[in-house]
This record gives sequence, structure tokens and C-alpha cells, in this order.
Amino acid sequence: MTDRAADAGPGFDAWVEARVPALVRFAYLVTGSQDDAEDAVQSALANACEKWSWVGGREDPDAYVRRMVVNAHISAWRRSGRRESPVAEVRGTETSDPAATVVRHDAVWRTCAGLPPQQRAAVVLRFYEDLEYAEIAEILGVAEATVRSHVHRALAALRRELEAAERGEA
Amino acid sequence: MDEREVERVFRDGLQARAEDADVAVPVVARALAEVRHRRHRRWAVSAAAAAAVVLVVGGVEVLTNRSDDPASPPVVDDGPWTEVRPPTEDDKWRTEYWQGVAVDVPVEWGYGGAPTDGRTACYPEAMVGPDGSRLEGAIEQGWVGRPIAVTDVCALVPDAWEPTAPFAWLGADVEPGTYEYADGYVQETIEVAGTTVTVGTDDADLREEILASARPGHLCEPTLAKIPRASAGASIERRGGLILAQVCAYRREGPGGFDLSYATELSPAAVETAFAAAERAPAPPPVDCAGQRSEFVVLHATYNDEFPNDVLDRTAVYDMFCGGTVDLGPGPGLRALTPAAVEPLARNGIPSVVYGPSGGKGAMIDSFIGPLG
Repeated sequence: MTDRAADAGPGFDAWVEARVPALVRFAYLVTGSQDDAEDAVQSALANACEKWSWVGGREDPDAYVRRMVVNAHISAWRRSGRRESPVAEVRGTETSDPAATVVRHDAVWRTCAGLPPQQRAAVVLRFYEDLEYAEIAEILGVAEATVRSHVHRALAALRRELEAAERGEA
Repeated sequence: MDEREVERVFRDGLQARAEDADVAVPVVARALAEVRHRRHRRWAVSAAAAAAVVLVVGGVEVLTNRSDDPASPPVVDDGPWTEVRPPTEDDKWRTEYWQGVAVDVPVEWGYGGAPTDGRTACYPEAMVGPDGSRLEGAIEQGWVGRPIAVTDVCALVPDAWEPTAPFAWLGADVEPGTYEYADGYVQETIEVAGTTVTVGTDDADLREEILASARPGHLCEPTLAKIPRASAGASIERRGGLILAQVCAYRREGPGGFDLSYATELSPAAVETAFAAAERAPAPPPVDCAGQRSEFVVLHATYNDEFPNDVLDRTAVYDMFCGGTVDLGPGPGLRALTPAAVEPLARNGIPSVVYGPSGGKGAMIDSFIGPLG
């Protein structure tokens, strides 16, 4: 922690200690892979550390850093030329869950994997972070209407996935 | 299954999947290592620039208070510019700015016009290449359009026009929504950061990718109430390596303030060439130039300050009014706008967004849009 204290001050230390697990989980859902999540969080934390005098003074540093995570992922996604997000393997531990739950969780993950990065981030912010549309719009830097459209289309996509799963197509 | 139930499935599914993430990874340590690496690199650039200054001045000693220990780089707050992705050799995207919005577009796209009044675009195709060179008949070249008349030849959009190349319009006077052309091109407009972003292409992935990149831009101030003051900064002895240089072009249509029409970063070499050429330019001729300014360009450079471990700013203001001047601030003062002073920054998008000096500067005809009509 010595370097950190020298670089960004005790405010950063306390914040990073408390927030990193949640940030990694958030990044994992946004990126769809552990490696990409770690890269995105690393990049976001490096930026936050360098600018902590500014970021830490904001009303909600979490929102700003979540935005950095999303931006880092979108940039990496673009540079790699990928058109699809990776689909993580289904956990073996889920076999103990009721079958219907597993099917539904898999449908959620497949739906997320098919979404463009910004839309996927909107969905995660809405249904995992439980943010309001206006807050999501602020984080993603888009209009609230765009967020509503992202979420609406994602819900439609999930509904299609669930219906396909019920028909045994998934 | 109703909407609420689908939402609940989403929440439960994401909650369950989030538990898969390994949160014990040493990501904080890696981030701090990255910060140290960035600072070393920034410091190395600073040291190289300082060494170059020593060579340029022919052996005159340059005073610095820099530590000789490379492990002790200066600490610099480089500002909230996180949305700018540094270009790399294999980078396929560049960032374009208009007022408060930033959008990533394919790096090979040129520049052209976009609708200014809901219908008229002058002209809707690539007229300037990505490097700022004039194009002839490049109807299949993708382009970034702004609601600025690049030529006096116009088209009625979309009624009497069919796109032949993909495009991204920033700030076009187009209602949000989708329009389908007869040839398979689909044009989609969204509102972002108080303006519009419109993308037209027959490639749905590309359209979605560009629209998804639209975000608030922070490279330059989106609006300015008045022309900023030029500043020469501290003496060259304290000026270290360049951290960042921005070219910010502004224009106004009515009686209000100035809106950002274009922004880009400038390389260290181009920055120094621009300042040096402006300093060599003669004083402007004494003419009566009362009137309203409609456009200007700001070159803002931020350097490491070698002495008190801080940063130094230098700002030049290129005023296109009345023949054109460059204000370098107290000391160097006001200079005439010359082709040499303009050349380092009149590249990329500038020749398609700035009309240039009034008064018939034929030598700079390729640097700006020039007079229309």
C-alpha cells in the first residue's frame, strides 16, 4: 500500500479496498470472461489512481470507475476486432441447481453474449447494479432513451432465448 | 412470461453468474504497476524532449531540477482525458468530436458535409481524405460529416440522394430514428451529449459499433463563451516533455458562444513546428478589423514542468478573421497567419471544418475550406 498512498492518497486506498471485489464482478458480467474483466478493471484502476485527486472528489467515484471499466472493455473489444463477446463455460457446480434454474441462467448468459458491449453494460447496470435509467445513461454517456432501448431490446432477446429453451432448441 | 418475470430471470441469472468471478486476483497490484510504467514512460519522453532542446539551442545549458534517478519520475496529473485512445499502428479507429460528443470511426474515413437544416447537405460525400488532402470523386470512401458547408454544391437529403459509402454525421439536423434508403443503406440517428450522431451504412454491425461508441467528449471544451486568451507559459528552461497537445476548432452560427467543431491531438513534433513557425511569422499589417469573429482554432499544449514537479500550459489562438492572426500570448504577441504557421495543424479534419482567413489567402487554399460561392 506504500506506493498507492504515495501516488493517490489514503482516499484511494480505502476506496479500492472496499470496491475491487464488486468491480471485478461487475466487469466479469460486462465482459463475459475472467481475463477480460481483470484487464478492464486493471486499466480502470490505473486511470483512477492517476487522476484520484479529480475522480475521488466526484460525488460518485464508483460510477466514474464503472464507466472506465465499460470504456476499457469497449476499446479492447474494438481493437481485437471481435464482433461477439465470449461465452463463459457453464459451471459444473450448477448441476446441483434445479434444472429449470440452470436453463434460465444459461439463457441469460447466452443473451448477454449476443449483445454489443454498450448494450450489455446497460443490462448489467440495470439488472445487476439496480441502477435507474438516468444513472445508467450518465455512466454510459448516452441518452436515457438509448438506455431504455438497450434494455428493452435485451429483454426481448432474453424472452426469445427462454422460449427457444422451452422448445428445446437451445 | 410477463415483462417482470423476464426481468427477474435477468436479475437472478446475472446474480448467479457474478459469483463465478474470481475476486481474489491481484488486480490492484497490477494496476499500480501499470501506473508506475506509465509514469516511467512519460518521464522518459520528458527527458528526451529536454535533451532535444539542449541540441537545438546549440550547447546552451538548459536548467532543470530533474532527478538523475530514473526511478523518481515526476508525478503529473494528466487530466480527465480518459476517452481518448492513444493511436497505435494497428489501430483501426480514430475519435472524432463535435460539440460535447466523441465518436469512434474507421481510421480510413475522410471528411465531408452533413445536413444543416434537416434536408440540405453540402456535400454528402468524402471531400477530404483522413490526412486532410483534397479528394476527387471519392464516392466510395466512408466519411465523417459535420453540418458545415464544405462546398456550395448541395444535395437534398434523404429525398434526392442515395448514399454510396458509409458515413457518420455529427451534429446533423436530423431527427432521431431510422431511415432506410432504397439501396440497402440504413441511417440511424441517436441523441448523445446534447447533439445528434447519425450513422448510415449497409453494415448493421458497423452501424451499431459506431453508435455504441458515442459518448461525451472531454478533449476540448464543448462550448466557449468567448475567444480564450493566448498564453506563452513559463520560460523554455522550465518546459519539459510534452504531455498532451490538443487542436480545438470552434465556430458559431448566431449571436451566442462558440461551439467545438473539431478536435484532435497533435504530435510533439507538430506542436513544436507550429509554435516555432508562428513565432517566426511577421506582425500582422495594421488594418481596421472591427466585426464579429465566427471561427477560431486553439492549439493548447501541456508540458511537464521540470522545476516544481507540476505542469505548464501553452496556448496559441488562431483567429481566422480579417486575414488571419496567431496570438501567442504575452511576449511573442500577435503574428500574421502564414502558410508555414498553419501547415502543422491544418491537417486531418481541419480543411473540412474551418473556412480559413478571410481576405483571399490563396497560399493557404488547401489548408481550409476557403470562400464559397
